[in-house]
Amino acid sequence: MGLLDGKKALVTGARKGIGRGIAVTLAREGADVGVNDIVDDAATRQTAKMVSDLGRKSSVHVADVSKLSEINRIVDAFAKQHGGIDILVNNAIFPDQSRPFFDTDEAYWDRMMDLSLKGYFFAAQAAARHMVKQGRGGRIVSLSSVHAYRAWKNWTAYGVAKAGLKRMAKGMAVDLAGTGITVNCIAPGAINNALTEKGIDPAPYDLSKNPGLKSAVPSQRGGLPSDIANTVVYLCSEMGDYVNGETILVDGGMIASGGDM
Amino acid sequence: MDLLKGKKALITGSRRGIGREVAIAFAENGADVGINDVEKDAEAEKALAAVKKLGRKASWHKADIGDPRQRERMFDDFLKAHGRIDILVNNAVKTKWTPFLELEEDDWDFQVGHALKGYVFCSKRAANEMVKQGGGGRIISVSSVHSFRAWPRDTIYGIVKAGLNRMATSMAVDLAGTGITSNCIAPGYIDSRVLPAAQEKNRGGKGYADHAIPWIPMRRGGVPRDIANMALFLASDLSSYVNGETILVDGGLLAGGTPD
Repeated sequence: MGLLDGKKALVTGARKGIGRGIAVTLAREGADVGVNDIVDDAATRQTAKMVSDLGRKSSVHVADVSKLSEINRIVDAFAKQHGGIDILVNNAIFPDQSRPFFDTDEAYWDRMMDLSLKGYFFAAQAAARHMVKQGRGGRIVSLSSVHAYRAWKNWTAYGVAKAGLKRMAKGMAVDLAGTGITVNCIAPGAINNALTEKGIDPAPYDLSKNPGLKSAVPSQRGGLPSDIANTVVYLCSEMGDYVNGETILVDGGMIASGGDM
Repeated sequence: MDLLKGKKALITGSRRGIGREVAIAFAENGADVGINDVEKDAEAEKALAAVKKLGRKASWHKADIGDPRQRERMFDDFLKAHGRIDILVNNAVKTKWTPFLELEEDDWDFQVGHALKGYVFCSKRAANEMVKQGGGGRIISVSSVHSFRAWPRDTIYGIVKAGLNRMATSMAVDLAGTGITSNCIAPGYIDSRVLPAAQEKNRGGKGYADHAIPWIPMRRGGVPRDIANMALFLASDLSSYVNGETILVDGGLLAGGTPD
């Protein structure tokens, strides 16, 4: 018996890394899982297979979740295919997340905000509409970041988007008062997102090869997708029913120590 | 669930309310538990019995955590009973609401000397034992929504609770590399009243905090199990990368506003 038996969960950006870790861990706890990513490749299919290998229903939803029309298409398709949606995890991001301040042009800004802030908002809204109609509550989790708490050089656009999500969780908690839907964020620290051949966790970052990271992380290890996925499970289960509008840092103490590298 | 299999956990202020529910949740997950409080009344007996009924070992430790001698003896006795300590949950608290203009030094000493100083030195003792043991550990402190914003007459309580949040961040830094994580839980409205069994099903419901419900997005008062679940998460391997953090468990109360 799992903590999420019978739940239907859609995870964006789930072809690898944290997204894959979340999708597979939710499935391990009994959820049926929809795997979204922008590309339908071997990695995307592998995540879906890892879900179905656990005996859960899996579905693949290829979409660019920075576009409202595609967000609505896959949320509706997921709900139709699975008979509803109980959990949405906003996790999608593109690889080039940092950019020097004066090189941050309008195109880059819009791309960052369209995916990470606007896209997360409208995906959450679409999911919440279904959840309110279903009348049995729900869980919305968005991936924020340590970059929401302090600046590192060249990360302003990303940090602004991730900080906005903290405020979005509070706003949605209030706007959805009385619906039984909780809305929260998780803020990861330095997590190894590499594509895995087996399982969900790559080797943690070798701190001896990353002296800056070693001094910045009191827990003295790199983070892993399972660190984030376990927190998602907590929030999405009965156990997390009274956590709402909150952002949980999962960073090994990086922000507590200032994160100086 | 067996999230704390074989672990030894000391929980201060655990004869009733949140502390007792933490003890029960830990015992359900395989931990042996030390119950601490200032008197061994009927509630304390219920706590001990509940843990034992789950097949776990329960030790009783009468101590005021604000008293250095009683505090150290509590740890000595816990270690004697269990052989080691893996988890400390700082939960005992004494509160007194006083308007700012009427604050007395005694009010300060009473509360700060107890919950703030007490938690720091309980945590120090536990951490030293955990470092000696060499296998990491978990130190969890119960803070409050009052640590983030003020309500009338809560100056000292708020300072104590805010201080605990800051304690956890320093502990994370100074205990770097020990495998010990230090975190706080900040409860909102939690119905931890002693209730007759027949009213247990109404815990957190009508009659508890009716004035506050319109401002709590989850539309219910919290129950001790909500906090115990978070304590369980923070005590387990699920949260080994959560460190120096304070997590609100308030149903969304602080996301918006309150009427008080």
